[in-house]
Amino acid sequence: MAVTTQTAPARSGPVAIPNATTPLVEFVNVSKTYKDFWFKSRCVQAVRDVSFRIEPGEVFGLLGPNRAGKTTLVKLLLSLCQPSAGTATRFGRPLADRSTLARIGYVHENHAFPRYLTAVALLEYYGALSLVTYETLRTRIPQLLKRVGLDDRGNEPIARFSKGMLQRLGIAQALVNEPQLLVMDEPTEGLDLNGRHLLRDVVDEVRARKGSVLLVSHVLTEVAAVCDRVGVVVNSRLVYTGSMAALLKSASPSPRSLEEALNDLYRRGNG
Amino acid sequence: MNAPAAIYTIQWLIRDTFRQARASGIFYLMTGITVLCMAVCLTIRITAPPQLPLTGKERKESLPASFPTDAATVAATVPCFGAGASQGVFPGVSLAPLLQGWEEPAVVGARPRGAVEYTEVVKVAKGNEGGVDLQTGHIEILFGAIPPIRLVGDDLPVRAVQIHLASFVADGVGLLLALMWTAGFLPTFLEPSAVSVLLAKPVPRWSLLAGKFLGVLVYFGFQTTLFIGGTWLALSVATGYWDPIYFLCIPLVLLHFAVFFSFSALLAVTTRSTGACVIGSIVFWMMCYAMNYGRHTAMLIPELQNLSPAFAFTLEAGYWLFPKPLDFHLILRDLLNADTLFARVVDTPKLIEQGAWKPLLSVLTSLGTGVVLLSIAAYDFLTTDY
Repeated sequence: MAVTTQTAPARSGPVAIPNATTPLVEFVNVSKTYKDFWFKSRCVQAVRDVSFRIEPGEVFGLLGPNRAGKTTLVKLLLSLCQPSAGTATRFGRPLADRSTLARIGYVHENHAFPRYLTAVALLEYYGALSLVTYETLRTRIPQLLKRVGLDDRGNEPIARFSKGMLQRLGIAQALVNEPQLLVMDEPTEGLDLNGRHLLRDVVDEVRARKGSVLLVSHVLTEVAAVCDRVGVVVNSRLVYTGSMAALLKSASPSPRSLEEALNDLYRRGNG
Repeated sequence: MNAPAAIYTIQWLIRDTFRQARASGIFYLMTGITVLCMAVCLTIRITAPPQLPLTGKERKESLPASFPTDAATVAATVPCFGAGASQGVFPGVSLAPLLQGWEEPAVVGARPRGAVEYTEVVKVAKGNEGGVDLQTGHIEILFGAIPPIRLVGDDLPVRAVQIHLASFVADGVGLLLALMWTAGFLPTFLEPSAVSVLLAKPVPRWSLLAGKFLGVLVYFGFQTTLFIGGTWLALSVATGYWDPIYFLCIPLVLLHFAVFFSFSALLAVTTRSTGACVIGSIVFWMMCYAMNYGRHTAMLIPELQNLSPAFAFTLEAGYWLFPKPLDFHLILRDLLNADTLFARVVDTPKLIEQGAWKPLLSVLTSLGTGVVLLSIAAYDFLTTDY
C-alpha cells in the first residue's frame, strides 16, 4: 500500500493535562436543545443541566435507556454539536479549542467508513487527520492491525469486511493517535465474544498508561466489568454519578442486583 | 486552528476524492471517453489536391482577378467544414446583389445560419491580386468511413474539430455528465455516520468541506486537462497542425464547473441527498441557461424591447444574480475564433455594441454567485449539529 511522505503539521500547542488533578473532561450545568429552523414545536431538549467530570486514569461509564441523551453528551464532548447552555472543558480547555481533539480517540457506534479504502489506507487517512506523523503511522499501523486481529486483511478493501471486522477496525482507528481519552459509544455492537475481550483489554491498556475511557452503553454487564464510576442518564438528566457499589446501595428498597438498582433509577428518573 | 493543519487536511481529502473517483468507476469512465475522443482524432486526415512546387516567381493556380464574380462564386461554393454541406450554399440567397459592389467592400449583415460570410468571400477575392485560391481539400474522419467533408483553408479544419470538442464535449455534455457523476461525492462524505469520526479530529471543520470541494475541482481539472491535452496531441499528430490556443479552454471550463458545483455543494450540505444534488444541479444549470439565453434574446430582438418593465427587470436581475452558462460557452467560442467557421449562437458583437455584454464582468459575477453559494454551504456545515 502506497503511503504518503508528507509530514503532519505540528499540533497547535501542548494538549497535555496541565496537572494531575485537572479533570480530562468537565461538564458544568450543560444543556443541549436541538432546534428546528422551520418548526419551533420540533425542538428537542436532549440534555438538561448535566454536570460531571472524568479524572485522569479513570474509566467512566454512561448508562441509560435509549434516547436518554447519552450520545448527545458524547457529541458535545467531541464538538460534533455545541452546548445550548452551561460550560464544558476538555483537557482544561474550552470545547471550542479543537487542538485538544488530537488526544482523543473515538469509536463510533455505527461506522460508515469509505468502503473503497483498504484497512491500511483507512488508518493512514484517519491517522493523518489526527495529525500523527508519517513515520509514526508507518510503525504503528501494522501493530494496531495485529492488535485487533486484522493483520492478515490489511490490504483488503473494507467493503468485504463484516460488521464485527469493521468494529475492530473502528477500534484500531480510535487508537491510531495513542489517545489520552478514549471515547466509545456502544462499542460492543456487532462484536463477538473475542471482540468483547479485545475491548476490555484495550480499556485496560489505556488505563495502564494513565489514560481515561468514556464508555457509553446500555449493556450493564459491559459497563460493570470495566468502569470505575458510572453516570446514569434518564430522560435527558444525569440522575446518578458514582461507583457501581454505591449505585447498588443507593437504590431503594434494597435491590437484589445491579439491574434492579438501575431499573429503579430509570423509574425514578422518568417519574 | 493553524493553517498547516488545514492545508494538510485539504491535501488528504483531495487524495481521497481521487480514490473515490477510481473506486466508483467514474475515473475510468471519464478517462475512457477521453481516450475514445483521442482515438477518433487520430483517424482524422486532411487531404489537399496535389500542387506543383513553387520556386518563388510562379503564380499559384487561381482564377483570374479579372473575373471576380466567378472567383467569388467558386470560393463561395466551397462550404466550410460542418456548415453548408447539408444545407446547400447560401440557401435562398442570391450572390449577385452582393457582388455588384465589387470595387467597394461589401457590407453584409448577419449571415444565414450555417453559411459562409459573404463579406469574407469578397475580401478574400479582393485581397488576392492573383485571384481566389482553389484550395479545396477534404477532411476525413475514421479513416474515411464518414464521407469526406470539403473545406476552405488548410488549418481551419483542425480548429473546427477543436471547437466541437471544447464547446460540445468538454463544456457541454461532458460538464453536465461530470456534474451528475460527481454529485454523489459530497453527500456520501457528509453522511452523519461517516463524517462524525472526521469531525472529531483536531482539524478545522471548514477544512473538511473545503478539502472535499477542492478535491472534486482538482479531479475535474485533471480530467479536463487530460481531455484537452490528449485530443490536442492526437489532432496535432494526425494532421501536423499544432494549435495551442485550444488550451485556453481548460481554465474556462473549470470555472464553469466550479460555479455549478458550488450549488451542488450547497444542496449536499443542506439535504445530504445524492438524488437532490444530481437533479438539482442539472435543473439549476438549465434554468440559468434559459435565463441567460432569454436575456440576450430580449436584448437583440427589437420586438422584445417592449416587455413589461417588471418582466424586463426580473430578466435582467436574474441574469446578473445567477451564473451564466451560455456566457461561458460564448466566451469559449470567442477564444477559439469559432465565428470564422460557424454561425453565432448569439450575436455577441451587437450585444457588446449595445453595452449589454461584458465577458469579464459576466465571468466575475458568475464566480461571485458561486462564492456566495459556497459560503452559505460552509456556514451551514459549520453550524450544523451532527
